[in-house]
Amino acid sequence: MFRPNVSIMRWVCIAIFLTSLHIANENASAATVPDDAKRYMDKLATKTLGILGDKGIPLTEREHKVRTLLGENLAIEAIGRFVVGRAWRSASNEQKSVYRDLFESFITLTYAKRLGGYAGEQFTITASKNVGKKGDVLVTTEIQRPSGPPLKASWRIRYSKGAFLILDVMVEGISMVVAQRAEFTTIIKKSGMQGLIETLRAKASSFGVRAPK
Amino acid sequence: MTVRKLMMIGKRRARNSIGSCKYRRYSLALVAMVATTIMVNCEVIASAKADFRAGWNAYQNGNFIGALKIWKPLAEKGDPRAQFNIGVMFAEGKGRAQSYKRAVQWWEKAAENGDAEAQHNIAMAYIVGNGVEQNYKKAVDWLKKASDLGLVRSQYALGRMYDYGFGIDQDQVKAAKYVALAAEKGFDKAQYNLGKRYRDGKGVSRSLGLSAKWFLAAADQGHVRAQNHIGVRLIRGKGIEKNPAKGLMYLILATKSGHIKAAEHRAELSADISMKDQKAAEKMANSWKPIR
Repeated sequence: MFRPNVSIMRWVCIAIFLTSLHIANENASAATVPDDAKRYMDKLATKTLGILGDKGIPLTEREHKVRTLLGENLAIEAIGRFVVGRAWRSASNEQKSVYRDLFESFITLTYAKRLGGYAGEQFTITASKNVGKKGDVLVTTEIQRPSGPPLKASWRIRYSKGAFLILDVMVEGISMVVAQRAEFTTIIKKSGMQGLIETLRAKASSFGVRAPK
Repeated sequence: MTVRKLMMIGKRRARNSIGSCKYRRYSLALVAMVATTIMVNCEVIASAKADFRAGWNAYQNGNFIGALKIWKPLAEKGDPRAQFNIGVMFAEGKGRAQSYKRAVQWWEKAAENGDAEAQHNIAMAYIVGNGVEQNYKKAVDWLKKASDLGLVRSQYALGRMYDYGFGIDQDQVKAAKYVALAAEKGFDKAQYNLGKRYRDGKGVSRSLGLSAKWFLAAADQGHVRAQNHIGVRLIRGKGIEKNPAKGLMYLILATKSGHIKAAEHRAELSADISMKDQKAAEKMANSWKPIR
């Protein structure tokens, strides 16, 4: 019986892996053009700031609209899987399904609330360039605040299946996705995947400001 | 002594003192005092209400510092709504630098004044470990308080703590009891959870009929996973009267919301559904609105 040499098999696997990476790289870099990503970012920012600046509707409603917009523009599935690391593989189907919903709710709510705190800031795009093996684009922006120095944020964008998606936001050089992964890993180590699910559930379950009756 | 009691005493004494100047003067003074007290209290309440609304308007306009300036004096006078809202502003970093620690401190003040939502938020802070050290046991204690006040979200959350044995001994019967309390009051997540419990016989006796009932209740409110479950049940007639058109409608709705499994079920089960029912399902899905 033919027994393949283990070291040969390893090299075949590596070769297949590298070829697939190359294909993915070619497809992605052909799709994500820095100027297109820049235009996409500009359009998205104008839309978001337009909603936040519309004082004709209550803040809670503005935040809700921004949340929907974020849901359409963040690569939620990819980010969600990355931030739980290896725990994804051992999670049950039910846990994966519940986690998907909770993570989407968590990430859009978190960013909508953060953005809701800003008003009237000036937003400018300062640079855009290709980064990484998959030809993503990093769009660098500066947000002028009424008080304090401008806030530098970089947005990692990928064009996939006919749409642009935001993969990460780096504020002052700190990756939000990497920071999130560190936080989630700590929770998973302590209380498992179910502990993380309950944590996300708790974050989503907290009450916001109360309206007068 | 309540104002009403004081007035009663005043009236009684006024009646008894007819003809007696001394008593008449006394009763008149008492009535005047009570009236003044009522007027002052009414003014204080009206002013607090107006201030709270002014704070709310400032908040909605994005003037967070202004909202805090209005709410803080109210909070310091013991108004639980203002205390609660200041806590939320600290948690969200609005008007002040984000501080979960300060948020919990304000919620504790509101919670001491019997504010159930503040009690719930403290419990959530203990689950997450925001502003306090993570402590499931303390979370359960706060959830029990808020549940006793009838807060639906807390009842459901407490059910989940019993379900997984977080901060309390695992007990499926108690878990089902609290989940059912929230489900009965119309909380969609609890209804979906109760549907699964009846399906699996977890903390309750297994019943396909009851599980379908609760899946349907949650699905009608727009709960996507419940729509997937009840969609399949209606098409197959499992635990509920067969209705392929309605079943397909729920699968369409869940698919539109991005539920992958529902899309698979829709593709798999559509083949056995008549064209007439498929068209009816599409039509119903287009005009569907959640029941709230």
